[in-house]
Amino acid sequence: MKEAPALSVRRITWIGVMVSQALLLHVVERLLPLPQLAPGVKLGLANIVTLVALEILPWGDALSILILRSFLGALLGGGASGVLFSLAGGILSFLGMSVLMRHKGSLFSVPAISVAGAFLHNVGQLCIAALVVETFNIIVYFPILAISALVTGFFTGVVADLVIKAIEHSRLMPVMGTTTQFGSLRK
Amino acid sequence: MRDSKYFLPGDIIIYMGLLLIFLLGSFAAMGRTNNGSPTAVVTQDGKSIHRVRLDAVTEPYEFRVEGSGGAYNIIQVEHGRIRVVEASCPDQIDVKQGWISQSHQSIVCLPNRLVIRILKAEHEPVGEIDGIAF
Amino acid sequence: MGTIVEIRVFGSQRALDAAFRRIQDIDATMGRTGLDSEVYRINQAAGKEWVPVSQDTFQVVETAVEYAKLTAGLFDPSIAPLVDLWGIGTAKARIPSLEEIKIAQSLIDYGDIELDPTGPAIRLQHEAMALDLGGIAKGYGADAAVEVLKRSGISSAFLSLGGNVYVIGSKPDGSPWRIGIQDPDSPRGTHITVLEVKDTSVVTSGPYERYFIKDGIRYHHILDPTTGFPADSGLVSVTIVTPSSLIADALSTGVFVLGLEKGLDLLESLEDVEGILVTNDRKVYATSGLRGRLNGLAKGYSLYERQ
Repeated sequence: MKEAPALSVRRITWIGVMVSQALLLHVVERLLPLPQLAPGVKLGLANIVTLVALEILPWGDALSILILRSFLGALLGGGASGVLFSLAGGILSFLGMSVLMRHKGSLFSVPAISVAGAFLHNVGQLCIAALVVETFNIIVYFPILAISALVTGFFTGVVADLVIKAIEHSRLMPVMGTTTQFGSLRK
Repeated sequence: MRDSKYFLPGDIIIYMGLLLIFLLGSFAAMGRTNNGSPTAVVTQDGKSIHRVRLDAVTEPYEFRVEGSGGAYNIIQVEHGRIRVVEASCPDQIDVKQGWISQSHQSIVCLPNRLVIRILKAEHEPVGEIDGIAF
Repeated sequence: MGTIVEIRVFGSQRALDAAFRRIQDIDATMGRTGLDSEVYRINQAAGKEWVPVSQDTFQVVETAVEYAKLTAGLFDPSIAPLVDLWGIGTAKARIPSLEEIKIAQSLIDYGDIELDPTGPAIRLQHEAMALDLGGIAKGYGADAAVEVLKRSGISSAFLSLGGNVYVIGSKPDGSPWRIGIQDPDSPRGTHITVLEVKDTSVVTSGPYERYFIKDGIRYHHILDPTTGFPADSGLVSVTIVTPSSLIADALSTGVFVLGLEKGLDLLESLEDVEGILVTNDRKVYATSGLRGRLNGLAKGYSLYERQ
């Protein structure tokens, strides 16, 4: 695996931009008056950023973005206790998605990866919740989460896919050169 | 399925997998009989602080549960259902969930470590009754 | 009565209203207090004069005396002085002194209740004697309401007067009514077994209904006139099944005080009366007519048969 470029201004800039985008989407999503069907059922707009980052940035940077936006998102108003849960879900989802990303284009499309990620995110959160409140009963939420992951994951995945394609076709990528670095790993 | 850019082989596996979970889970939930006398249990930190037979509630009432650091939840109990009507937690997930009345449902307020569950009535020897002599 | 009355009728609203009115009348006449309370007048005139009463009251007191005889006085409608002394179920509940109990006991004797069917009129022989029909008025109320409903042509109904159940016919779909028996250990509404019944009354009594606890001892509302204290008969629940709710009411109290052996003996000796007795160690005994008819049994309870 090729080494990612040393922590340069470009990397920091990209990470900064992505984190703030994720936080923005987070805030926007909280403002939307959407019904809450079950614990953990949410649109997950911020995951669009995670997906894009996984595709165009070094793996480590994408992880940093995830962790940073989780903590900062909690500060913005999610409560400190929420961090444990969103991290648990987020990291499980991230790991799953990064594995699937390696086969992007051949076996998996971005929306499907997003769906899998959304589901894993909820599973991670649910497992931590089950441990905390000592209720195995929580397993009954799986069906709803499965269906919601299918729907919301697909939506965010399609958006992420469009963003990725837009970035790839723009003049940003050649300047960064990251596609070259990671393109070979994924094909 | 026609090969489009969003239905690659791996995608099918993921979509089918989740659909399966959804269908199986839904059937499992439907198989559970609607118990006639549900008991709601409110626990905090795993300790039961309030139990009520929802069917026996004639007059709605509410009560407040306090946690550490000013955290609180206000729980409302009506005939056959229970909910958290107000809470101090920022995400308000418990409030947004609204009323629950079935044994597979529960309300959780993680910051306050509050859980409201509806128990499967272990005391139902044989299903529903029309009345009870007491 | 201070109890919740529930009547489910498949038929006319008029019949339902008439039934409710009948229950209210009976409640007014047989309550301990109130302008129309005949019981109040009887108690006031104790040791003095005869009090003319309605057929309803006469019938209730007459039946009560009959069952007092059957239970050898363990059920006694003149137990009011003792009930008032203990005050169980009121804010004034307390443990009376032995002296007070003895005095109250001396006033309890169903034999001193004089009945004149020609009036009809009732007189209590000694001053300070008093009747308390609270235990059986509900049963009579149920019977009376059922009579009203049947006369209106109702053939399917469910009544519950504070937990005294009476069912007319079967359910509208033809299936029997499924009546649960209250679990002595759980909050109201939880049952330990289910009876499928038609055209009969189901009345359950137990120490779990009204009591106060002092120094770890539970003092409940079913008093034993012979000891002056809450009955300690080894039973935790008595259910009587018979077409007369009045008799069911009287027997549920009486059998509780009698205890398992004598209680089962009495019930088996009576025609058309069945019962379920539950002992302190959660053994469930049913009279021969109910054997095999208990649907399911909650955890911790087991069915026994007397040898």
